[in-house]
Amino acid sequence: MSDMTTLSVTLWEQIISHLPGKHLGSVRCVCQTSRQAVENYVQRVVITKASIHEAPDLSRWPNLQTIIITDNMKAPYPEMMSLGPQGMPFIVVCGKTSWWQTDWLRQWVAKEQQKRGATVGLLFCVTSMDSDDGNDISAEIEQTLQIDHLPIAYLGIWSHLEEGVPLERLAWNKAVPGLSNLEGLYVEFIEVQAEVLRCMTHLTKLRVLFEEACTSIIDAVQHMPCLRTLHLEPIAEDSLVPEVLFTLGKDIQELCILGSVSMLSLMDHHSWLAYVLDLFAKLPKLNTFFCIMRTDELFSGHVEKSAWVSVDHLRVVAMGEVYIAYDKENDRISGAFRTFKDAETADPVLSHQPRYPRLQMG
Amino acid sequence: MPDIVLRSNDGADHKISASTARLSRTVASLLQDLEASKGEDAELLIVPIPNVCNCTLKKVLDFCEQQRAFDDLVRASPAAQQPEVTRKTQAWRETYMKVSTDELYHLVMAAHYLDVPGLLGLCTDAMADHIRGKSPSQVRACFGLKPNLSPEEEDDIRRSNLWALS
Repeated sequence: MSDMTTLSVTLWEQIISHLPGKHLGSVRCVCQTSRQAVENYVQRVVITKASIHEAPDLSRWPNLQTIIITDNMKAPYPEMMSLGPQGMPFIVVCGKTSWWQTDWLRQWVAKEQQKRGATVGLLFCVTSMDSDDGNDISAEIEQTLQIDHLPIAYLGIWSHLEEGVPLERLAWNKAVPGLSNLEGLYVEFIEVQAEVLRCMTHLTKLRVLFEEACTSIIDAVQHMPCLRTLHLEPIAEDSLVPEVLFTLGKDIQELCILGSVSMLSLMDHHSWLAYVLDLFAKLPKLNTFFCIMRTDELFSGHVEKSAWVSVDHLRVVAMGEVYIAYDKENDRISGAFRTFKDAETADPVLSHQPRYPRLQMG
Repeated sequence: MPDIVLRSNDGADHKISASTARLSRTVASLLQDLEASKGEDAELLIVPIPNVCNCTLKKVLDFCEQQRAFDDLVRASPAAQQPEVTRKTQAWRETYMKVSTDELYHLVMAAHYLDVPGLLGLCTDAMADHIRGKSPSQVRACFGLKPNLSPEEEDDIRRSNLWALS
């Protein structure tokens, strides 16, 4: 048998690129070369609450871009891992905002900012707002935006809306310094499990809260002239999302809808298609739209390579024809594309058994 | 440019068209240099490929010939026939990749050396298939690798895997 110890790190990296993240743990233990290849491949690490204060040896991951801090391994959702512009230092803090202030993490941010020159630092901070949490959303945002005067381009708000949360806690303080510089915003106002969706009484109550939250967002976004990217987790009510979007979205260039428990998963294909096209018709600057579906594969950490789909400049050709990628296995449409080739190549998962309904427009 | 000859490290010659040979970026780069120095009317070129044996070189060139034929077919086929072309390509590739682990190793090294991206992707995908679902020791056994991590290093890796993902 050949001596496979001569496989270089580069070749191992090529091999790894075909494997879902869940296999990388095994590959890492095969030999020194495979280990180095895996370390080179790592772009995100997840740090649990338990190890937050232990400074990890970050130098072992030369291509690390994102650090995710979480208090349990169910969070953060895999969708979150893939958010934010590429090539920027990116931190997701799920839980206490103060966790990010550990020395090693601040040093990493400073180093990454230096390495990337003028690129703004990116802090993705997720806050929670349970009924027993004393903070209001305004205080959380203010605290986040003013940390060490870090230039923040992207802000995420992940708030549990629960019965009993006083509505005044949802009000945003529009005078918070830094808010007007935000280029990107992620909003998820609710975490709804599938069983909750089936409980209509509960959903009605949540809807009232969500409507208030949407009003608050619309109000706040008026004070974000730089906002170009919006990532939105909609609740399972189709009338609310467009209301938010069309009010605030005149300048939105990129839109992501997270599809896990959203209306998208509840709509039939034709309604979904009409919805996508309506977005492009009503948001004049929109040039990128993508939708992320949750699968087990996503949880393996292989998100950006296999499971999200995007559209570039769809607006330019939206009056011609649009190709829709249809995920047969999950019976969902998962993206809209400018050309057949874009649809086919954007998502290798879909390209195995594709079926692309074609729409002729106008 | 006329046909060229690629010579394996055990002295076997393979005559192919220059356009097929250019699927190897290594050879394409070499041809570009030669064209610049001698012009397109150069005599039949013999290009030595010192790192690849006859058997593997033949296999690589099979891929390049077939890839070129499929590329031509794709260009010539109307949109409605594209899925059929894709299906045929996939079927051919599946048959092509039915090789032993040893052959696969030589093929991946040759694809890397000759820089044939399509073939390299195919080979590394096949190697990944050998890895899926296997423990580290099973992967080592499959590829004939000797363990070169110390027990301490293995321990460290296992511990770090508990919290570091992807």
